[in-house]
Amino acid sequence: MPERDEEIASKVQRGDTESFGILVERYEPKLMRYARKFLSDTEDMKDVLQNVFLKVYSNIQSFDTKRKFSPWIYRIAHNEFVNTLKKRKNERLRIFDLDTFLPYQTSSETADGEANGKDLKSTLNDCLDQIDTKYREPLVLYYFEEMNYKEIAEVLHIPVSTVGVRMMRGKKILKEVYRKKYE
Amino acid sequence: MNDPEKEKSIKEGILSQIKAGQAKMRPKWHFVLRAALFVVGVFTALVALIYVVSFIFFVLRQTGIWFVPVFGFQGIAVFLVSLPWLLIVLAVIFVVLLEVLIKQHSMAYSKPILYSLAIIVGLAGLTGFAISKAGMHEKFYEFAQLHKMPIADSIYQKYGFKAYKQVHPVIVQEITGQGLRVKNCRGEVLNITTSTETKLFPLEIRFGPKDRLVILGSRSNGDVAAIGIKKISGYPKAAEDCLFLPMKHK
Repeated sequence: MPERDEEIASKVQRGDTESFGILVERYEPKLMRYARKFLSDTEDMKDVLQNVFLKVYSNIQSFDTKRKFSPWIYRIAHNEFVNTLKKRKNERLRIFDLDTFLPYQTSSETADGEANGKDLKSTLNDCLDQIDTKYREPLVLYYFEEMNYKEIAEVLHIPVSTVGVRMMRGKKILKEVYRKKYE
Repeated sequence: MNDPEKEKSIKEGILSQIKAGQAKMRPKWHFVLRAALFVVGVFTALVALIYVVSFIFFVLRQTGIWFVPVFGFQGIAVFLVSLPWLLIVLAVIFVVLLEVLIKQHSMAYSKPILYSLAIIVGLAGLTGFAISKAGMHEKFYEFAQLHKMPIADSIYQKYGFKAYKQVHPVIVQEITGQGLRVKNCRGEVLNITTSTETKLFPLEIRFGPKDRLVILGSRSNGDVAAIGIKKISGYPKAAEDCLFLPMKHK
């Protein structure tokens, strides 16, 4: 049975730097996919991804091995992608999001049917760059990285209820963008 | 599809940087120190916030503003206009700072901001109120008058001794035919006139010398037409000879 990410991270913390290569192998394709969906294809993904892994290595001692590794590394990737977008200067810096202020009464996860999910995934692929980052990211993490709402909340450092709200609004915007594009 | 060669080169690039010492792992003590600084930062901001809030409560009682809302709409209007807004803004800044700090922690960011804000404001309000009742600021006020607090004495003197045109914290000197003769903490003697419309708290109150009162009413020279009179009791011992500590001039 392959070693869990958390066990490998623990080895790296104890000084086994070769084990870090296993983590890079496991997460490089996932983070590359995430990067392509988050940023645009014009970005040098390799450089961005290298920075992500270097930051992961640099901060590995701050990782609590009792928690899941995946949201932690995605959080670092998220921060790096946000910094990359900021450097573009055409992305507004959002200090405070109103949708993290109040509690929302949304169900923790909506049960999209499998067919529905596949349709949405293909629509998302088509219209990603026209959706605001705020809504794009939870949709990407849910449909492409197959994270649940709790994991998405960990990555984005927002309440689970806010994830639900952004997913709902993101799907609405996506449908509208798709309708305008193809009608 | 990803090019396996390109994937290998990213992994090998990173591992070679690690081996060459170009990529360094931050030691555990770095994060322990960061966590400790975080705790110190939160604690300091919290203490500062509680101090400012307790000082606001002290100022409100010291100047008599605290008691005037009981006189109805006029009292509430005077209360709102007379609030120490600069101190309130300072308190809000500390609340925002605390919110920004604690949002780094999973216990805070996993809940809506409203929850953590309510906890911070509630904790600061209750603790600040309790501390303001304990007599600490009265003691600091005394030190300020003796110029024993180089930075703070001007703040205590400015806020603690502020006089308002319509709010008069006083001590009864004698009962007169038209009302009361009272003395404020500047040593000024005022003549208070009452009417059937003057609101009294408690109701059916009987005044006597040395009673401590807060009077709402406009002052004209040494005369005040009282809109409302409230009797005050239960002050800390430091204020025995004057409800509101007398200002000792330089």
